[in-house]
Amino acid sequence: MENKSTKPKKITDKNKHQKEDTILDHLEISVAESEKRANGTLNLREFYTVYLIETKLTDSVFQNKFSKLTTVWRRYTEFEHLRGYLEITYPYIVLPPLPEKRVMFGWQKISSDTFDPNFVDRRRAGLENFLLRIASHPVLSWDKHFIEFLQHEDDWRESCKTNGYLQLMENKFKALNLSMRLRNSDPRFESIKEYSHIFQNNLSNLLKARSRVAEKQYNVHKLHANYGRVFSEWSVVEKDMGDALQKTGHYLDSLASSIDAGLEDEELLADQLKEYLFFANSLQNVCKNYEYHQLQLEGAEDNVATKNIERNKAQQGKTSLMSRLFGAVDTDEVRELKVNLLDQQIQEGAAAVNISKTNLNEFSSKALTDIERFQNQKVLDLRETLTSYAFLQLKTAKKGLQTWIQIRDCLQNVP
Amino acid sequence: MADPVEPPPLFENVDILGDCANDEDLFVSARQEPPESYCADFHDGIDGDADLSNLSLEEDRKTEMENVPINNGGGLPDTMEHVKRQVARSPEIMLLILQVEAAGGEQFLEISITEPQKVGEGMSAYMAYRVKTKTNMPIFKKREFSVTRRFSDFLGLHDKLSEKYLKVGRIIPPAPEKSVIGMTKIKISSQSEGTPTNGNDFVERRRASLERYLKRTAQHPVLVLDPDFREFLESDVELPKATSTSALSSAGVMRLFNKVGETVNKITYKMDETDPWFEDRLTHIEALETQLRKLHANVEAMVSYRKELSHLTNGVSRSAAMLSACEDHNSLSMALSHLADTEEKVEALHLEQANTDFFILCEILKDYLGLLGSVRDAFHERTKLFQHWQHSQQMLAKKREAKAKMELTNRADKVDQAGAEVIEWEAKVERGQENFDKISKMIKMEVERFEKCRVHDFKMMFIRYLENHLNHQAQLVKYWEAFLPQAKAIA
Repeated sequence: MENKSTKPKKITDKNKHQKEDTILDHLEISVAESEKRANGTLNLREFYTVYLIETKLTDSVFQNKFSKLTTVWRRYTEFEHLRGYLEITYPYIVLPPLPEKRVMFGWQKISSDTFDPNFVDRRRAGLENFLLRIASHPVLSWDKHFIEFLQHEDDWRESCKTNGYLQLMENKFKALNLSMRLRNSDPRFESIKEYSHIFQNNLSNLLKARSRVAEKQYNVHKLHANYGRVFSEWSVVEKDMGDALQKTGHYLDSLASSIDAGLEDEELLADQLKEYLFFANSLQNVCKNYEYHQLQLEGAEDNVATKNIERNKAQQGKTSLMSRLFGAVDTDEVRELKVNLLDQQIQEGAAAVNISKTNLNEFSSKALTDIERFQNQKVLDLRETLTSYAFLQLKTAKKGLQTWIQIRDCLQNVP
Repeated sequence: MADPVEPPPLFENVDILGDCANDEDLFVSARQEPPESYCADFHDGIDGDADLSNLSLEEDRKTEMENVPINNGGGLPDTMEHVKRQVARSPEIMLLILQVEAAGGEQFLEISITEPQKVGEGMSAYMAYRVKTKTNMPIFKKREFSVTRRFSDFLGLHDKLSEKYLKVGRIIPPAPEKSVIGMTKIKISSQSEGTPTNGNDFVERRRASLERYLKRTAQHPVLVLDPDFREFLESDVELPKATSTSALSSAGVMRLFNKVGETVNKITYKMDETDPWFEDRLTHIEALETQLRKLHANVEAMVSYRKELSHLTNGVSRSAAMLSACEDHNSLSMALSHLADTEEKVEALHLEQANTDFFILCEILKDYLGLLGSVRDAFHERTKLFQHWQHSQQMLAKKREAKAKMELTNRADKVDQAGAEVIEWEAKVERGQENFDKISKMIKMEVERFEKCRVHDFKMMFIRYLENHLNHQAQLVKYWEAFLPQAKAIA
């Protein structure tokens, strides 16, 4: 399987802006192997797969911080925890997605068994890609927790428990999933949100269509194997044509088996597209985070507005309906107390609004920067993918052409 | 069209034979003296007197032993030489060979079927086809002519030819199958849909298979000269309705009945095979049939797979187009839309490929499965003759016994009668054996010709298919080559 470690390097190469330092400039990260392990007793075995992460120091400058070579074993759920943490900590970043948890867009040859060696290997490559993307992000790569993840197997697990961010994650998750009604919404974020939905939809359709085409291609080629068999049997019956028929049978068999390698390579490209499908999700999360901030701001503004109204009412001595009915009227003192209290609250509220606004602006600007980075990266990546796809198709077509030419020459020699 | 060479005065002058005989040693062994009766009859036949020619042919049926080689587009030069070596007794065939030689071996007969037209309305509607013939064979009245025929005419032709020639062991190409469903669809569809350009699958398939049928029959050196065949090709009048071929009639039921009987006979009667050639052949044919059936099934599956592949590729194309639409980035969007275009082209290609698979491979395989059936029919005729002969022998034995019995009991009158019967049956036995030997020889010759044709046909079919397929593959390569720089150009 191809190692995708070359991809993120291009990010830094093509970075037109001032080159930002990422940890990948100093380290080499790879997910080298996978292993099947088991938990529990003999009867109630629960199997899971662990992946070996190797970190090599390439730049001696950092020798004090990192050892030359570190290896840790991590399983998929630990990756999930890491990502969850990053999600909470950097809500304005379009986070790289993990490879799929379950097999999506599977077909005949792609089993949905998560222990299937092919699947495990593709996941291994996906996890490596995930780490490399984080390591090449100017902000994310310096996160201490992430570095711990790479370096210290057990310590990281400990710190996970003490951080308590798992709880944070859950809360955040619940908060985000409430439907939010906003009064004003930044049109930039609106359009990004819309784009991400359309993008996700279309990409999902594309992936589905592709997997069905792949399946049909597979079937067509395997059918050629049937041809090969028939031709071989037939050649026994024939006198003149026998030789040619048998050779043709062999060529057809080789044609049938040639499709396997091509389809495997195509699966890798499909994985690249899947990554962007999940990226669309990350994009949506950023938008949701924006909306959350906006909601906070609006809440704070609403609060101030309500307080203002109350203050005005209190100023004018208007009180609740009940007291008016029952004739109690505030004395001047009480009124003034109330007004002062409300004034204070209004001031606090205004301060809160300002804080919210600053938060929101900060968030927006950081988010938009990262979104732009993401879009640029996306163009580069999709270019890679499309080029590889075209190249793969070309290769397959040429090979097919060659085989068929051979078959024709074979049959032309029949007397 | 070649300048029509004046055919040598055929049957007036016996010397013609002598002249040509000098050119080719092969003719030396042949009989030099054509009996006058033959000449006259055949000559009359050529002049269009159908009855007489029919008559002469009927007489000759049992003595015809060779194939007259007629070049059909220069397909089988070998056959000609080969068959000439086997030239034996029949003189008029000799004379026709002469004709061929005289015309410089440039005999050709091109048949094409065009313009399927729906005639009539409702349940009595039918499709009429235009049969165009181009030839320079002198037995036809004109060089180019065309007639209108309907499907039942073709079936009628097949029936007539079978009637005449199957019994002597010739292999008659089978007619295309009836299709009640397909035809009913045509019948109930409105008039405007009946035009040939509506891309109607069923009509196109039928047209193609009728064309192949006629071509194959024309390829057969004896059948092509048959007056019924000639009438079919050139006679302008509407042929008498071949009602015996209709599927839903009492005649149809009778035929079905007979067919069942025949099939039972085929299975139950085991012939005492004296000639291992026939056993070999039969096994060979059965094995071939099995293989062809498997191949045919595979090709059919392939056709449907390719059609599905085409459809699914369309899905990819559309989603790529939609992705292109939602992207702002110019070159990415353009590249995606190019991808969509490429996929669309690929989709069309797959569909074309499916059609090629079908028309070139599938249909011809089916034809050959039918043909192998005809070969088996010929074999079966031989078996029947053998049965007949055995039966005659048994009767003869019985009659002889009866005669002996009569002689013992001294019944003079009955003895004579018995004697007459014995003689009668002796003659029958002799005829039976003669017929059997003749049909055996005939079949051997026919099968050899058939085999040559078959190998040639298959080779041509495969080559055609592969050329087509290669074109498609090359196109595929071109499409992707065109797309690659587009993908690379994404900035």
